[in-house]
Amino acid sequence: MTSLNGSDAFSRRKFLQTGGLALASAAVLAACGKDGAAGGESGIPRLGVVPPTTGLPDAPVTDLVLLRTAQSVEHNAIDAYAAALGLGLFTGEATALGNVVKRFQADHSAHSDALGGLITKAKGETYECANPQINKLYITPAIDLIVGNEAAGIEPSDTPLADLLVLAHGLESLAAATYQYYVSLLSDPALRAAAMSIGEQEGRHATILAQAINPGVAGVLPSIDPETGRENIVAIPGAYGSLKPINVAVGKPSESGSKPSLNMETPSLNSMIYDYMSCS
Amino acid sequence: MAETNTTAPPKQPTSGDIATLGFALGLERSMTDLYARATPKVGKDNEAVFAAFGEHHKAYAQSLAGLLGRNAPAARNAAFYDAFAGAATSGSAKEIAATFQALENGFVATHLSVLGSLRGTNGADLIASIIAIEARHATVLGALAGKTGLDDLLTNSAEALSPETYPA
Repeated sequence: MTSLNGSDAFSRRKFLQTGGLALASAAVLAACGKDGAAGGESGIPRLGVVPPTTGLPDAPVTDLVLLRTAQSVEHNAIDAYAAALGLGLFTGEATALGNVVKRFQADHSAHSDALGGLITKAKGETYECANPQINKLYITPAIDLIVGNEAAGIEPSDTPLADLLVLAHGLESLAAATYQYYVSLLSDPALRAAAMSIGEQEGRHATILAQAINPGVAGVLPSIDPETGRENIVAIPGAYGSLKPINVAVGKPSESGSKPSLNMETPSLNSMIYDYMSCS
Repeated sequence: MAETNTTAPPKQPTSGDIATLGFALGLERSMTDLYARATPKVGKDNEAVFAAFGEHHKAYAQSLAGLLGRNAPAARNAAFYDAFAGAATSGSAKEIAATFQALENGFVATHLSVLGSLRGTNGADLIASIIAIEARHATVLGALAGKTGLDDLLTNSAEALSPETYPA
């Protein structure tokens, strides 16, 4: 009989070596094979099954897309002003400010109508509701910071009325910057002029709000708040219309004394209202 | 929906744009000089604001000159300057502010008209960024003039200035 301890015996070490090689080979074959999880025609090995994906619709940025996006921004402002008025803060000495807010809201409705006319004339579909991305990224978080959100652990602001003005100034500046930015994207010169005829109005709104926040000559030209080191909100922030992000600081200050802030940016590729989108 | 835009507009000013932008440049040079005349007359409180606004117009003139290169007219628009040189220094500080509010509103209307005719996007971008601030100038000047009604600060009923009325 052959001894189990002999030289040609099937030793434990040999068993492990052979078994390991077999497992490794199986793994390589599985990765390189043509079936199932194999790389298929690309020849790139991969493991697992990739579920089929649905591509986004073809969405070119046309003049109509830009006009529809601008119209959506107007509705962001209309809705934000409605929310602000609904808070009941514009009473007593703030009644006059409430009247300013109502006027601006009416102006934005008129701007939406004007844009709607341009869109319809170009055989497009109007978009008479707020831009969902702007709501999600800027307005809802800002409102939460002002009025508080218990579920999210956000305490309300100590100065809600002042913060509403800051938010309104931010939204007007955003709208003004949006029209200015879209001039560089619009292909039709007549539409560029039409866009800026609305954009300059948003700039005037922002100027009036800036004066409500920092009144008088001291609030006209750029300055820095010595306590926070931030730029003050002023009527004329520079020689040229700016396209940089708009900083909005609202809410309950932290222990260091600074309010939470968010940066608003003009609607770009990920927040435009493309042809395939409709109000829902 | 409309068809996709497939032809990108030109960046540089076209030959048609050059005359239009040259007209705007002449006006900006005139406005710079008008602010320089008015600034010493508006009182200490408003002086810094008028000086800054004048500097803004100077910057616009320089930007337009840079865009136009050797096609840029070298002089201010004399007809426009002469028409308003007297009013720019007449009356109280509030009256001067009201004069400049009207002038800024006129510039906004003019530049909107310019924007509607420009083909090149570099010129259009520049003019748009100028309109954005000149409208704000007008609102501030309205407030300095003592106007408090929203219509007085927001509404621009000014007519666009034309090369026929103010030839270069």
